[in-house]
Amino acid sequence: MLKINRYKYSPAAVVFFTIIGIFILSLLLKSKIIDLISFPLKISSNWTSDIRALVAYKFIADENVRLNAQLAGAANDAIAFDELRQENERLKKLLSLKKESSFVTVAAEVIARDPNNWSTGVIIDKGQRQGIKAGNAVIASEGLSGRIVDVYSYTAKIMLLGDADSSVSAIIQRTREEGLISGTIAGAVQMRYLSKDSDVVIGDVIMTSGLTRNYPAGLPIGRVIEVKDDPQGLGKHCLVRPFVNLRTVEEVLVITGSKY
Amino acid sequence: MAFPQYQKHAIFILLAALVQTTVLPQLWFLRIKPDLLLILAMLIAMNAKSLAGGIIPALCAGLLKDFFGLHFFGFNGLLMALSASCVYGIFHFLNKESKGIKFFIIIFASLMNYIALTIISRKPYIFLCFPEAAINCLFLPFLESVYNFFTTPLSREGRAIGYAHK
Repeated sequence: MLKINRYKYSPAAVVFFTIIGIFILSLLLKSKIIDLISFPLKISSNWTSDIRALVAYKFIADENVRLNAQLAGAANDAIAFDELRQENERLKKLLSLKKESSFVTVAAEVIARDPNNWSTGVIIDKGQRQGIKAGNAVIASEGLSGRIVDVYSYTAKIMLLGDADSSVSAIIQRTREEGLISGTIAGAVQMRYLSKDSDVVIGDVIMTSGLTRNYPAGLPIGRVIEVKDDPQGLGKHCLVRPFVNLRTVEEVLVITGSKY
Repeated sequence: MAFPQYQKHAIFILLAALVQTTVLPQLWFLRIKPDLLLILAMLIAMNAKSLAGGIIPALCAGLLKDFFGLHFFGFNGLLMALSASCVYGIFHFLNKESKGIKFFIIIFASLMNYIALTIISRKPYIFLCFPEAAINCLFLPFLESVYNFFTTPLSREGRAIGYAHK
């Protein structure tokens, strides 16, 4: 028995009330805690990029030695240069997209990914202070990535297209047929509710239709890689490979409004 | 400098959360990744000397997972606390020396997680349980040896004696 100030409490009751206390406290302080842990996340995320650069170093150095023996001494510089060039290209793409775009956007960096295997999301380093709101569409240089689901002061959570709860109305660019893009529990992306006589073929490009709120029309989503009949035989659905690699997405643009 | 056990657990859980959300998704090549926080919470529950010592770290690990996750805030926290209490109870009746029991406990915790998820979300997430449990079992010996090395003084001393004999 635990004895506090002459009163006796059973250990089970103490554990129970501690759990309830921690739970309520974490619920109240959720946004503050997430903002607080964004700093170590940024450091850890950068550190991971450094590790990846080191892994890439081995491969690129080997290739360099094999092809140009005389440049072996400069392999280290070449790798550092290559990493910087890739980053530069990525950022240039994003910048040009931002310039060309008719939307008001906020550029953000991915600092953490969903720890669960049953949901697909990322945390970015921009939040309410930068004008991001829940429901904003998120794009990368290649196309649509997902939408904002939770916003905190300095961070926000994005539900990626592959999440089982994600859905957005879309059209097939060639045939203009409408359907619904949604995620699956395995993290894949599919287009559902196509009619039985739909002439969708492998390779067709899928774009947003503009019917879903906050998603502007004409954003590229992906390419059809497999067409299947519905199990009930009432229609068709197809598997889509998103243009954005959802597993490795690093920089994104959040659409916060329109210029016109 | 000797750290109290709960501080070591807190550091372990924070490090596992950082690795789980930043390093692992970029370096892991499969769609299903190991659940380091779940493995760690179960290891702590297996070695806990009191019920609170098993449940509270599991609750904190679960809540940390919920902070980073998209859906059902509190789901992981409460479920991992429940799993830890079951594991604490089970582990005190069974033979602790048996290696197989730890794998069974990891599979049990993963299964419990996905059964609850399937019921709550009404989606067949249960299919993800088996690959995740298998990958968790692969990671268990590694995490267990790291955990034992830093939390059990005997483990470190045993190694030191072993090196001295060599």
